[in-house]
Amino acid sequence: MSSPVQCLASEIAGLLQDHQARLRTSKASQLTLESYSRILPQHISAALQQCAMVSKEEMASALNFDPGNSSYWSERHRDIVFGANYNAFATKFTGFSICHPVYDDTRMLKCMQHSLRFAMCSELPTATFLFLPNWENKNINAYRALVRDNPKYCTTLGFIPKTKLTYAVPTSWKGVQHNFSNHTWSMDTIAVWKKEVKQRLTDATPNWLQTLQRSIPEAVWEKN
Amino acid sequence: MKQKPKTKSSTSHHYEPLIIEKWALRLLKADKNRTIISTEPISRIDVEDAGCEICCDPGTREEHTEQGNLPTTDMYQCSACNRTYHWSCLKQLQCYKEEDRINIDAQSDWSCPACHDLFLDKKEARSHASQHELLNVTWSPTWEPKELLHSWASFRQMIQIYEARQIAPPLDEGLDNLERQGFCTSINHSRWKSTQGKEIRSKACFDMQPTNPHVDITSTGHYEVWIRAVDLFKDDIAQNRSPMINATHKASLPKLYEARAACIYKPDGKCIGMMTPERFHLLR
Repeated sequence: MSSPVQCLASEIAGLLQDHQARLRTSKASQLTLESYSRILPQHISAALQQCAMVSKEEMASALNFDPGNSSYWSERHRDIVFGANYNAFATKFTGFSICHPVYDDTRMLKCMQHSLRFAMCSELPTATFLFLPNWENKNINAYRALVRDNPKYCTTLGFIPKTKLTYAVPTSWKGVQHNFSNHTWSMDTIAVWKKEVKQRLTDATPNWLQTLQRSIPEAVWEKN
Repeated sequence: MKQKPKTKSSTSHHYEPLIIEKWALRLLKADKNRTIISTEPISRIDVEDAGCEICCDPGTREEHTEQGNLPTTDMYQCSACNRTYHWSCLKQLQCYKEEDRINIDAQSDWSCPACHDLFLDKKEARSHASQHELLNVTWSPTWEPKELLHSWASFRQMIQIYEARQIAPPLDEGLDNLERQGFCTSINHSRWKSTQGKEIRSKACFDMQPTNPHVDITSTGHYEVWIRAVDLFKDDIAQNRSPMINATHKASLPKLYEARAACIYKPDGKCIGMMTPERFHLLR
């Protein structure tokens, strides 16, 4: 049972305290903890909204969701007071979504499985654009195995090299704004969809991929 | 302050400031037992309870006999030299007769016998001189024999009243004698045990959160969000961290900059975090 909402200020205070408590946990690695504050640059999300009809955001939070999307899913239940939906893994997704999870291998694998499941089973057009870090040793990227084993549903659109990869400035901090350690990974952009969905997207906007490529110039795009 | 003499039975005496004529200062300085701390000129007209110039008594001579507790009416002040005189003393010196008093009461600028025959300019000169004729002298405390206390009955009475007012603090029953004196005897001792008494300890509130004077506000009793300018700093060291500081890798200070931020406050006024104003408006 959760306590009733009292005021906006107390809810935001709770949001910040939960966020800070999560950053203090000793169970996760430093890389995973930092990834809670790593936010994709706004132009990437905007490009997907404009070119690929993305309107939903999975694995977001009240502190980093993009207001350009019509809805977002958070892992924190109390975020529903800020308009969030709770628990993306318990939601049947349809439509076009963007997903930038925390950099935890188990979590990323689960996101990939979840996206695959609904891409396969959903009768409505369903696609998920995942932004996942690609560790230098590709063998330890657990989600890579799923991409490799399901070429019918998973398409690697491209990647952002580590030298060009940047993150947005964190929206919240305590005392001092975050200072991330230098990242040593590139960022994969993977679309999980059916062929029909891709075709429908092309039919609706024939040059959507070219527009997307122009809008995210720092990425290296695959020839699909 | 004078050193305390080695005799055990002595008490510290503090003297009230004394108002004296300026010419009397050299007599006071001649007294080796008193140390003058300061002398300050004081105008004769500002002296309250001024004494009679003839008998030196500041009290009235008439009220006790005829008019009870009425204000002093028999003390006359000269408009030229600002000195004061009892009517009875003036009569005793045969300066006036009783029947003259009605005329004197009717005068608004009465002059004493010493100033009465002076011209106006001389009166003004005396009036001006009266502003510098007196001194307010303060004394340093002295150590006097204790027997002196018993020579003044009213003072002894004041001491008894003062000592009766002194209430001994209640014993702290939660602590034994040693603990009450500041020794820690128990094995699982608490750092917060003090000898201040359990009443104070129950009211003590330890603020374990550090206060940031640049951001924190006075307690308001409820959660607050203030959008305000705050000083932030960028720590570039994390990006360009060097294991050693040497001639090549020099230490650098964080860069300070001012930015607007939505500061979130707890009811005690402590800032628990900040966010960009844009994010705050998104959450509203």
